[in-house]
Amino acid sequence: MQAAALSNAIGLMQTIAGDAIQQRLNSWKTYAYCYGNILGVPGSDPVDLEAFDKTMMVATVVSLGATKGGGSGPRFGEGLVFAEESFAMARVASASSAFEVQLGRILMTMAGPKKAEDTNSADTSWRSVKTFRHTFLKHGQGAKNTQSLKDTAQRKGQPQGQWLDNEAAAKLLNGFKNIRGPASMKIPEGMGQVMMPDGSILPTTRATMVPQPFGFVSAYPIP
Amino acid sequence: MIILSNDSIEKLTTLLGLSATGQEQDWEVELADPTRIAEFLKVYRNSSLTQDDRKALMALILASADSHIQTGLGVPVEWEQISALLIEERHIHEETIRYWAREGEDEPDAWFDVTPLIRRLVT
Repeated sequence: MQAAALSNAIGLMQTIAGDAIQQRLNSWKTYAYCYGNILGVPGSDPVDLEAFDKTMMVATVVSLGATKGGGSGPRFGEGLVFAEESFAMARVASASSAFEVQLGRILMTMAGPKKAEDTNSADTSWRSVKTFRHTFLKHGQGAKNTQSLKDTAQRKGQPQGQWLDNEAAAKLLNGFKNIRGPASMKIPEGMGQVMMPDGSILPTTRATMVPQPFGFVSAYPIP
Repeated sequence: MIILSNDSIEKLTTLLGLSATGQEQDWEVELADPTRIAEFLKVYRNSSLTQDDRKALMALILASADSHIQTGLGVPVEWEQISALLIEERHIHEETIRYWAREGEDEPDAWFDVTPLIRRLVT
């Protein structure tokens, strides 16, 4: 039931965060998002995407809104100041505690680490090797890569991930350009698959991102 | 796509003291280090390496050279040594050269930073 509620909430938030709002906010810098929504947990610094994802699995959305707000603080890194748009509040409960979670999108970073990417537009095409390096060359959609990754998985005995929709994957990854260090994240269903050493192909909802100063060294779905 | 041997990856990870987790799907680019090119070359020349090892190590060296340029450090001073090895042992590195050369791709945004150097090498 909780998973269904979460799925409905994500669907609704994606609608809210659709074209109209995106166009209105195009002049703002998207800092990071997941499913099109920035994830912020008050009192948690920094947000751990993996941990948050697990937390999200017990989240129940109690109210929705589209309030525009601003704030500052160390939530996402040293001295980072940001403006954000909140789309929703979710109540997150575990066995021992409960707290409210903001779901929304970071619109602009106003301080923090200086990176060239901060001045670039949020959405870079998946075709940009300068930005995505090996991400789509090795793990991009298409039959050629599927076969190549299947061969690699079988020869190396190691699962190999493939994006099924380069444009959607690039859009997702564009929001994570400023992460520091490799990280794993949840990806929407249907966005990735994994070639297994036994020759099978499994759908997945997880991916690893390996960042570089101006984008990614690589990013690929994982089991 | 370049497929590197697991044995070579394990051997080089140990030999070079790389901080690999074993989960890397793109070992040669994830472990690239622009500050260690000279050291990698020394190992390439002086260690007992199989053809598979040399292929894996050269892939790591090229990724490191690409990272060197990409991070604003310019063309590594070791480039002449790298290009000499690529020519000398082209039969081992043909696949790697083709990958980094981005053959048939005219749009510079679709090139690696090391692509122009590689293309000069193969023309």
